[in-house]
Amino acid sequence: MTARPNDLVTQLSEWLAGTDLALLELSGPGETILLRRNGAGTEVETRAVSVATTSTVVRAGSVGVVLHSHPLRSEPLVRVGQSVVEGHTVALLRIGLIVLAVQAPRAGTVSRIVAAHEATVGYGDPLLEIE
Amino acid sequence: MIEIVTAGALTTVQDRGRYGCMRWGVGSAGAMDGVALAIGNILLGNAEHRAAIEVQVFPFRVRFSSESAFAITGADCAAHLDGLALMPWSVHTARAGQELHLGTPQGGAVRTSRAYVCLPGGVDVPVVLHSRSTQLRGAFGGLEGRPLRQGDTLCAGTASSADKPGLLGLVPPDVALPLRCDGLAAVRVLPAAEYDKYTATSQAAFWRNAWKITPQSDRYGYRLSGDEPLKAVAPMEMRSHGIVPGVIQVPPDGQPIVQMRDAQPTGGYPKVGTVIEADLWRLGQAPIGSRIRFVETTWDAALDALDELQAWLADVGRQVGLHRNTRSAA
Repeated sequence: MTARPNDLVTQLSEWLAGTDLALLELSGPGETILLRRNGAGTEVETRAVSVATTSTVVRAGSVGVVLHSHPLRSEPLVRVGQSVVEGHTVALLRIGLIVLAVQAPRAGTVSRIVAAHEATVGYGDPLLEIE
Repeated sequence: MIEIVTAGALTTVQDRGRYGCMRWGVGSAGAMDGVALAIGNILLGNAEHRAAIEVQVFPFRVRFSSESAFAITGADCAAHLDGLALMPWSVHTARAGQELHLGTPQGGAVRTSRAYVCLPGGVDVPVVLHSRSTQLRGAFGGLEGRPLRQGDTLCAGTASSADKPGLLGLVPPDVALPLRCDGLAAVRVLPAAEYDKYTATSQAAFWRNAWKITPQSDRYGYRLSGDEPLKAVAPMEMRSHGIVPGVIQVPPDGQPIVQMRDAQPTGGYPKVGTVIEADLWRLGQAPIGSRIRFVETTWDAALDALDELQAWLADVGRQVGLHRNTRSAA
């Protein structure tokens, strides 16, 4: 989500005006948008979140259990500082008996591992970051 | 279509086996690890009778002449597709011209030895006596009744599902259904017809000792070696009689032989036990030089084990099907 969803903000502002909520906070990658109800109108404030612009967050494409090594192997799929090519399997998601490979969306260096081994994650949760 | 670039000895096309032909002296052949083959077919949405390539000597390389999905199951062979590392027990897609490379088996709590390369619709070779399995002894089935070699080309059959198989993998069966005894790979065994003709000491040694799989082991049978050869109470002379994969014979030297998928259907050695059908896949993965243990079981427990294995495979099929439907709906 790189373009600011202006249409969405306008729509939400209109809806907010019809409620008794004081504040709606929308957090996304890179920025947070605060919608404050102000009388009949809505005040919009945008705050940049300090995330290195060059890093790519690799997210879970499904609910599941994060695995940083394959069940048959002891060594991790990737380590912090390791360079990866596009398509490199950087994590696995286990859903029941199914194991899904999470692939690097681009070449880069693994800068941070966010989700712990065997942590349960939801759709869109950050797993690791590539710079 | 795929082309074999490098194949070690005895790489063959195998399906789940050739049944109903023992009366003509034709053994079953079929995949040494039938569970790995079954999972490869499930992952690709294939019918369960489809054939795959069984690889037991590495490295192995194939080139895809057109874009194709494929599944790799069985031994974790550090598979690579043009240098990109692939996860074991999973489906991948190759573009035209890409090469799949399988290296020496590695990893896992117990060592494994055979990998399976499965294609959507299965490997298309002629059906001979109800099966596509290579029968090496009779030189029929598979590709011209022989092991694969460099330059061979194989076509995939017609895929049963129009959907492209998703990129998905599976928790390996040895992780989901482990069986160990004192840290060694184990198989459950039923005492067989001549079990009672062995000394009590030998009977105890049979269950207590680890048995090494000697280099004289292959798809026909595993010749084992243990510290205490099995001794019969009295010498036995028997006529040849019917035997099946899993039967453990004892030749006069007292070192057992387990019949495997290419076993001939008759033999005359006394039988001390039979590896249960539900555990033959575990034995099929045990490499030469590794040691195994025999765990005594009963007829009822052997049937329960087979039910458990089939229920697990059905569960795998259900979950893979659900995943595929979810993806196609997305």
